[in-house]
Amino acid sequence: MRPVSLIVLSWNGLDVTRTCVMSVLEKTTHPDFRVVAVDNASTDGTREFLRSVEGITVIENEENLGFVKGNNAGIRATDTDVVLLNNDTEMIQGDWLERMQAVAYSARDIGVVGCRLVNAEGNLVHAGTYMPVPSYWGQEYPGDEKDIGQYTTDAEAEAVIFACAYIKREVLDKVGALDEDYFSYFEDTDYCMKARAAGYRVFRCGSATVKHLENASTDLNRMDFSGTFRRSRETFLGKWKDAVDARYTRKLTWHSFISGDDEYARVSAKLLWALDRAGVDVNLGFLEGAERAELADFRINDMKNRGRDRDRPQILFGPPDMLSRADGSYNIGYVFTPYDRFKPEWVKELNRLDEIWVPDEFQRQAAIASGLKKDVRVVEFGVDPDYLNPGIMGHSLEGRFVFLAPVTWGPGEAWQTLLRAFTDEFSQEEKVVLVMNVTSPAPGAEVEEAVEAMGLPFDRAPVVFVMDQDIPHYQDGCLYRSADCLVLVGRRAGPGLEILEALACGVPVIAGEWGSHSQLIDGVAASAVETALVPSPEQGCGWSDPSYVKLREALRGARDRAGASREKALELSARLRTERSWDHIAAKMIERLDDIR
Amino acid sequence: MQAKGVDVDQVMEEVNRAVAAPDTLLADFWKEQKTQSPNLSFLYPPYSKTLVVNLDMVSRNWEIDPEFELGSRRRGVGKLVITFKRATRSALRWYVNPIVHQVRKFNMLVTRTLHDLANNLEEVSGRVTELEKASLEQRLADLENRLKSLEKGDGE
Repeated sequence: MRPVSLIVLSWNGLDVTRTCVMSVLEKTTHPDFRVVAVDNASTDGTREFLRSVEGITVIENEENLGFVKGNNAGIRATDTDVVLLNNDTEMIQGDWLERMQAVAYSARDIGVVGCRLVNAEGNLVHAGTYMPVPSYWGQEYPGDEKDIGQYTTDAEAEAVIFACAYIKREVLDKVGALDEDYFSYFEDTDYCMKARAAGYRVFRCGSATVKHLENASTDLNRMDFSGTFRRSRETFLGKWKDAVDARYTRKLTWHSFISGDDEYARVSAKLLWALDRAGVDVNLGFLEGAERAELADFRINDMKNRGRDRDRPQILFGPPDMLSRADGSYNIGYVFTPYDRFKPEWVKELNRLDEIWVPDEFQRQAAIASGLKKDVRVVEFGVDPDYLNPGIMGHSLEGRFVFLAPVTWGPGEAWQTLLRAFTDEFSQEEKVVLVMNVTSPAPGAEVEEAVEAMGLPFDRAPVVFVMDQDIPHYQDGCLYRSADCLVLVGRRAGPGLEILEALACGVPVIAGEWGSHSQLIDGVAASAVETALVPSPEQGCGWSDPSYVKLREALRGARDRAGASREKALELSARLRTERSWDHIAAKMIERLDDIR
Repeated sequence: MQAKGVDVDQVMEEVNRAVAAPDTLLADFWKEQKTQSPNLSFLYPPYSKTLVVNLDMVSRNWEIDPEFELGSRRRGVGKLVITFKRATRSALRWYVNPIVHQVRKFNMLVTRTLHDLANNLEEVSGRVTELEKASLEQRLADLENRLKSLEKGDGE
């Protein structure tokens, strides 16, 4: 293994510094590392503590030089690769350093490597950073989420923060130390930009996690955080604004719903991030009204604030009857129907646009059969492999097979058929449970009363209704991973996101043979249930009803052939996460937009 | 009332508990009618179980109707049974209907009162939160002032 110097910078904060240094010395299993402690004139006993620790090098500065000059003093005192380590970090893994070093040397052009950072509560705060435009207010992602095993892959990042960062010696030799125009903040992003300009890539090591008490020195020393941050931001903009702006090579306007909780908002958020990463300058508009509220997602909020520009192509993603705001140079409707066809008034509206995108072949056939005259292309929906993969934490029930059924209460779901089929098929002795994850239009007892009216038998396997629990969407993968089989009994044709997401997590699925999700049914990982086309509440339109008998058979089959289904689902998961990632979908979109141009 | 997010591990823990001991709001009513009830559980978010859901249930059930549809499960003599029931109801209407009217009135008043109380509770909760916030802000301002005076060296 290559030798590494760990530079720990401190400015007061005896307790956190002690925890940091001792956890490094006690836990780190790397065979060839040394600690270089740089103290920025602490007055609270930190300096004395550092002197008392055997086997570490201590550099004592006479005054507080700040984060940048302090770290540079450490870098100058070493001739190996370095890890910059804040004194408010704590090691929670023994082989964290080996893992980061392995990523750094997995490719010649990887120069800087960060890791996952969790806060004192164990929530994941950092897996990389990005620079939203036009606010240029650097952000970490995911911000503050429960650690469910997201971002555990090694992946390229725009930048990483230097609370814990591995920098190769050859990068230090070529790029130099940290830029001393900064006192603190933005110097890490600046350094990552420099490394990238010099031909190196910045990576996150997804298998290394470090605990980080954010801004401990700033808080302990009652430093002016916002003033320092603002000054550093101005310095950063003076150096890098043009370079940040220049990463956008294409332009697009995206109209959709964004602040809601529906499929449109969720798909939009993922696609907008992917398009931004791919260098598309997206202006965000809305399908109706003016959504002025500030959005929690800084990157998307900035897209909303970029102003209007009619001289670029527009994608209008929403219900087919709400696309009247098409006023771009080329207008694309990105739509799907929940029925067997597009209603005549929708077709009329869609024919006014230049081109139509739909998420799958089923929808394309429905659009053509409904009389759409425009070019109809398939642009599939995708998955986010960082949140939907077999490594996401599940919470299965010991010794019990869990069927999970997401149900939006209303006529669009055949929940009675499922309840009847499940309770008729499985007796109390069999170790199975049906978990109905119910979203109801208003909190109330309507569901309980409707179920009571069914008069279900009393000696059957248990059914648990999880009512409107408001589980954050980033934990959807967790929910899928907690089940042994996902059961979809929706009558609607589209958009088929749940089947895609569950399979990406390696969880087998039972679904109707009709509609958007039929594209993913293979008979092993995803089993089909025969359906009949029945009239929907929308006049002239049909949707599907699953067969009670076939649903019973499918439930039994899923239970009896669980091993084979799961194995196949895991196989399929790997393919979906590669071929259907949102980045992949964004690349396809860009290809088409380039053709249009 | 604002919904708070729940983590999946908490939900699954509740599911596990529910499988061991099924629980529904209507369980007691079901038990009155049947000796055993179906193996069902309903997990509501904590904020809604006691108030919103129960209140909703009260609103749905306060109204009682003595003129409900009469039926019979018996084949063959079913029509005769229904005719008998209708005759009995007509004969007793003079006695039953005033009592039903009184119960309906009472139910309506109780339901309305419960809704008023719930609204008042929400209003009071909001005011308490505001007062707590104001009190915390005041304490913070006092602490900052004390800190400033200590830094100036004129503190105690």
